Amino acid sequence: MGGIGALLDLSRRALNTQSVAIKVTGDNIANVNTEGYSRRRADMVTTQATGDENLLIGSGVKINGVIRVVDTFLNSALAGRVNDRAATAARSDLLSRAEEPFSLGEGAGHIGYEMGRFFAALQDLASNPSDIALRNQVLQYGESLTQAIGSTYNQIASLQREADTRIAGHVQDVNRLSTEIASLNGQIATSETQDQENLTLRDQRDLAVQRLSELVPVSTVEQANGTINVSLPNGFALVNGTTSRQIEFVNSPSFAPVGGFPPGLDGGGLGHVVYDFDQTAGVDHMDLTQFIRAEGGTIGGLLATRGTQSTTDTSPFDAAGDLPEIASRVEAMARDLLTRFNVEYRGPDEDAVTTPAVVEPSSFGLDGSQPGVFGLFSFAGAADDGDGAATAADLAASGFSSFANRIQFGVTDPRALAAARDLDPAGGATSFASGDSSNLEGLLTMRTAARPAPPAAGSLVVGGYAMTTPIESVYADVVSLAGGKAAQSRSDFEVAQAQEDQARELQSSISGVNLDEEFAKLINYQRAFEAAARMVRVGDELLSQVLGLLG
Amino acid sequence: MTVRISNMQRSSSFIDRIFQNQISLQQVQSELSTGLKVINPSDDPGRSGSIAIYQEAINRIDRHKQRIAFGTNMLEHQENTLDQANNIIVRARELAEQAANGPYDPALRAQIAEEVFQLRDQMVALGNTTFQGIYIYGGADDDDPPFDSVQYAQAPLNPALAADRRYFYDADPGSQVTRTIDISDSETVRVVTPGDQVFSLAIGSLEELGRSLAGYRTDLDVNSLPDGNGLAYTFPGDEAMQTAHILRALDNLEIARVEDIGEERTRVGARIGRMETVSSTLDSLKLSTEKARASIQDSDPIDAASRFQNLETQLQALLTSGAQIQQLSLLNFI
Repeated sequence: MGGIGALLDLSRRALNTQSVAIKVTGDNIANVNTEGYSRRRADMVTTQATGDENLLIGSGVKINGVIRVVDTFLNSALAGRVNDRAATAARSDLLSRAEEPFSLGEGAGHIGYEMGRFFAALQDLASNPSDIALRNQVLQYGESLTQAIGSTYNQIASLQREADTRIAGHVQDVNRLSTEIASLNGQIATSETQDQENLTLRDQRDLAVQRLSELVPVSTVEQANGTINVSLPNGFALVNGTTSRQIEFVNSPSFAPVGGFPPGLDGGGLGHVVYDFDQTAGVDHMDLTQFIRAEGGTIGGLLATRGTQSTTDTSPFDAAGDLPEIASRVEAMARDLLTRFNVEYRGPDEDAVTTPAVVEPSSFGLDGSQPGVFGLFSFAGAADDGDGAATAADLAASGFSSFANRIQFGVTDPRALAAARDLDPAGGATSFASGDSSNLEGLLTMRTAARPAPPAAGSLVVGGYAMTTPIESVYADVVSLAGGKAAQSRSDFEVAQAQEDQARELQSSISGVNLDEEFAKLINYQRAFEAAARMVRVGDELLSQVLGLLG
Repeated sequence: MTVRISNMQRSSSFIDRIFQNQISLQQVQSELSTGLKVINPSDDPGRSGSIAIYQEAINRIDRHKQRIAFGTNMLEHQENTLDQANNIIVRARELAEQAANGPYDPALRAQIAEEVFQLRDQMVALGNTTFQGIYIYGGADDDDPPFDSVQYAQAPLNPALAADRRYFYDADPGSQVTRTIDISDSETVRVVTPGDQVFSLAIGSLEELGRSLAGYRTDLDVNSLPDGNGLAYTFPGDEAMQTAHILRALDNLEIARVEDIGEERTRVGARIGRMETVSSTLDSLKLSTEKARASIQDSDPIDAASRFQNLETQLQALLTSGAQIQQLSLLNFI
């Protein structure tokens, strides 16, 4: 009897096992398109053999557990690739938009084209300085040049602001994901048994980790109780068991230098990714910015492009990053126009003997008017420090951090445009002629004049850029720079994307669901179920016959 | 090497390949429509700076050529002016010879004097000629005509009499400046010459001739120009002096015609020739710069069309094969 009972028992277990296996297969089929789902496998093991004397007969099959088919090494390799791809994607997106103001198609509105037109207008006026129409042309093209510089700079500055805003949003996403992982850790720790993992929660947690690694570079370590610790490359723990740390994005961290960090390109502050160790009262910020920037992720890519500040920075152009680097060259052109060109526009010092400390103008408009210190190019709030020359000191004293976004053309009356110079600057009296164009000729020499390299007097340094070439060459330089950065970042992105695709393919080859495979297994389990059901019928018939014998 | 592939991976790869193909198609389409393969600096970062420089150089050449056209017109106007000045002197010489070589006739001389003063006034008008608001012979002074007049020193004289007025080159500031225009990145051409170098002797000699014929001495300075003094002749007695002064004026007129006006005419001709030479040099330079720019920036339409065709074919093959593969499933057979 024990034999038939055991047979029925065995058949029942087989039916159970195959139906669970069918359910697992069904679960896989249902989740074929679920992101982050790892295919399950019913782990079937043979049950303990029983018997007496020397006869040991197996007692069938049981499900030892349902297993997630994952390769944790491939998962973490994929997370690393996702991190790289996200960083390069963020950088490539911003830099491809940063090169738009320097495009080589339609010319109007671009700095190079407008600068060429302005200098050509000066040359045209030099051939007939008293012609009002030609004077108006100089005013018009000068205005176009300052507008081109301003709009180019503002486009770069607004990209920097956009990057800063996006980082703020992503920091909130990091905090949300850290909290979610910590919560899942808690749920996994309490719901798992020795034999069975909580598959769904683990899938969710893996997906959360992958999303987190897209934002910041992270590494994970699994603990014995099933929780994972997630930390940044410098060891800073974002998630520790069931607790998470909330990072912040602040403009004025506690480690800021006296007077604060310099502003960004648009005059507003730039944020720093920090963690406040003093959660009770006051603030004690740890700077996480450089660590995240160095290792990647979307936030790292955005930081590298936006630029990161150090405590020794004194201007928006000192920030280390692609956008400040590009903007520094545009700013250098603006400062060159505001200083060297204005100095030349006033002409050589009149009466250098009488008042040597102050430069007096020797250039004249048509009616004898003379230009101010910021006569040709100016900005709202421009003032001279008393030496009669537009210098870098005057720019610094104005309190503004950037001038490319506020440069204006300083001449509004065509008759006031100073084309002529004093015919005898050394003598006391001044005399000029309406047809004299020597002041314009002087301005035109500035077009091809280089600046000395620092630290020589007259050098021009903006951030990390020292302007040593003529102003038109600076434009060609920034075109190459912007183009080079955009091309390099695009190429980096393509490589990172290909590597991510490859890693994803490998990971998916282990954990992904293949419908044909599942359908084949389904047929298999179905047949096994049918066979087990047949065994039940056989057992039942045997039992009936035995019972028939008895009664 | 992977031994499995999941459905999600298969469909995501398919979609990625479609995107890649469509992006490439869009790029080639943009190339075909603009004719340019380098529009953004990142399309060729190493040479985008050069493209910017070439574009600017071509624009600059166009502006130089416009200025050359302006300068050429101005110099041709000068040529015309100097030709007229030459003709005035030739006519004055005819009149002077008629008066000097014929029998002494005060009435005839007075009549010829009137015509000579008209010629003098025409010569002054030529010296004061303008071109688009510029006094061509005024140096850098575009405010006042370069030749002004003043009354002769000796009085009493009739102010209405033409012989009473002496024309001189105004010494306003800038009147001695020669002006140039830029015709290329490195060359300039003079377009304004101070008028005293060209017309002063001619005007002064016509004045001397007219005054002599009208009965007045004209004292000259070291440059043979009237110094503003000159008493009337007393007749009889001064007839020989009058004739001598007429002949002296004739000599000075000839010097003015040949040395001042004639040589300036030659120089102006040479400047026009130089402008033409520079203009054709700029044409070749523009052509070669344009070729250099096009070789980097322009797209080859045949190559672009061929690439477009290939990508289109690839896309069709991709879509067809992908759709077929997606339909294959074990489900169809069970």
